[in-house]
Amino acid sequence: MEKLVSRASLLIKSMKEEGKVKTLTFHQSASIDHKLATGLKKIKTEFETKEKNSRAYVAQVELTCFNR
Amino acid sequence: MLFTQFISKSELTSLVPEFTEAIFGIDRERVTEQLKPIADILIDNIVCFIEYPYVDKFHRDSYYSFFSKKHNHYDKNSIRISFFNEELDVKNYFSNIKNNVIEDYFLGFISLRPTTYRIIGHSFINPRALKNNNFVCCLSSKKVLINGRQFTIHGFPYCSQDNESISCSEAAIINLFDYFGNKYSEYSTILPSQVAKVLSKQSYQRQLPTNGLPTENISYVLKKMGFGTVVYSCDDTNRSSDVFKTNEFKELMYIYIESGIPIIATLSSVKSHHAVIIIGRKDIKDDLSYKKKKSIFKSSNKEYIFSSIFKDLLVMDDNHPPYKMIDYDKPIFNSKTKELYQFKSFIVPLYSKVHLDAFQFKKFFYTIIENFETDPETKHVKFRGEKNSIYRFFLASSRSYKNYIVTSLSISDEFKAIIVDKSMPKFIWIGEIINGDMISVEQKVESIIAVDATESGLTGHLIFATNSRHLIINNTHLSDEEESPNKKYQIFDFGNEIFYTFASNLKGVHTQWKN
Repeated sequence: MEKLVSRASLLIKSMKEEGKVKTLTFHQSASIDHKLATGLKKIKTEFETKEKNSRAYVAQVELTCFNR
Repeated sequence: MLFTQFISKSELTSLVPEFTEAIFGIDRERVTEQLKPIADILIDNIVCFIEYPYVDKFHRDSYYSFFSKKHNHYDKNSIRISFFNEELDVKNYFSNIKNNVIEDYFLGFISLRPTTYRIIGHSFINPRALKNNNFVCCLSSKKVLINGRQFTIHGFPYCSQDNESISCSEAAIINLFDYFGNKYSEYSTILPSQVAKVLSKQSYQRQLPTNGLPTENISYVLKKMGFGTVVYSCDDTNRSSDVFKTNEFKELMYIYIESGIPIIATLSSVKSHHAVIIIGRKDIKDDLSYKKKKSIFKSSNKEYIFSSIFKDLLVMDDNHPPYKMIDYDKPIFNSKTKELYQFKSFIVPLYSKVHLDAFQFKKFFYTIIENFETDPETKHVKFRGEKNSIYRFFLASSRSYKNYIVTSLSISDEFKAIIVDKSMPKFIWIGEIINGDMISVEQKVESIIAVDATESGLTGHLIFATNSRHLIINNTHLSDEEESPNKKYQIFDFGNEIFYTFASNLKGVHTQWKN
């Protein structure tokens, strides 16, 4: 019985033969991931602060009456 | 015996008030006052079908939990008025018309309940019934039985507040859950008494008669009923840098609207607060004039956010007829009290597994571009064009996005195969960079970045990034047997893929006003 091979796998193989695919090494990929993770960490901290403060802000605004 | 009768549209504001006065004892002038704004938004060539008694499950629930406990008598039944295309009336209603033909004749219904303050109860109208429907919006569908015939209707649920058992906040919650309950099996509709029951666990005072709800309580109900709720609030004074700024707040709101998620927005005036559901925006075809384009790109800035193009939002405001278009800058003006309401916060009923919110995605999108455009291995892949660009962000299900890729005629089979065979989470964030100079109904997209919306950690977010000539893909879940699993990113060269904007989230003329 022939081995089942996924369509994407065959396609990537043929594109590689044509020189249309470049695969980054582990270190190159890790370097990109590290930079993205550093950026995201700052974003997450900023979001947490804004989310927390805006919740307090809206509670203060609605202290005297509700949405009706 | 049931009372049923076909009437013309003109009789909607004459015979119906008279009938309602006779049944419910509500002054006909008051009924006319509330029916006229609805009659005004409906197309002229419709036929109305009136039924009494009708069981509006929301009113019936309010009746048993509240109105039945009063000394005065309130009717537990409602009146339903259905709308049909003029092709269908008393002469041929029972004729043997094919089901798919008759479905097109049905345009929705409204119900009238015996609550004097606002009589419009649960309603479901298809935008084809409206004179002005130049918008795109969220739609769900439900099956209804009218005069012995079953119909499927596509629309957004609506009901007005009765000021005693439901205020604008409860009405927004009920309509939102009716939408999700009709559309997805994970959710169910919620009745007014269930809202009160959910809130009784955290409220320190009685729920009935209602005093309205603070934003926090609206969010609490949504969370308790299964949503991963996120709340955004805006400090319109822009004094503090630690809350969402006015522009930031607006951009986030538009991202969720583009995602096809109805959101509950709360608004404030000097004296009071109000809640509405934002369900869509103006259709792009009305914003394409040359003059308009010039006004969009008037500054030297080359990059624009999609929200800067549209000011008009589509809302379900229980104080107004359904499908009301509002200006973001002047959303609601109460002509009686001369009060102007401004947006203050909005609550997003996110799917519980969506862990990355719009704010984080939008910022992360720019981080990805900057990193790829400066990294020595990927800097040849340019995502930003030389000319004006519009940035559009939205959440999509990977199923609908793969379907969009596969059905796009301008994308090569090789590109389709790689994207379709890539394992993806249930929801993905998409950022599109649109060529601003070629803005048209089917807008061309220069670059697309897809990010995993279920990932809350610091790595593993990027699914793919493409600029039509190159595709950068995270191959972790892509079957390439020859590669070691440690080698992560692959860059594919393609000829020239042509992408158009993804338009499946919001429904409109392009989906024949169907869900």
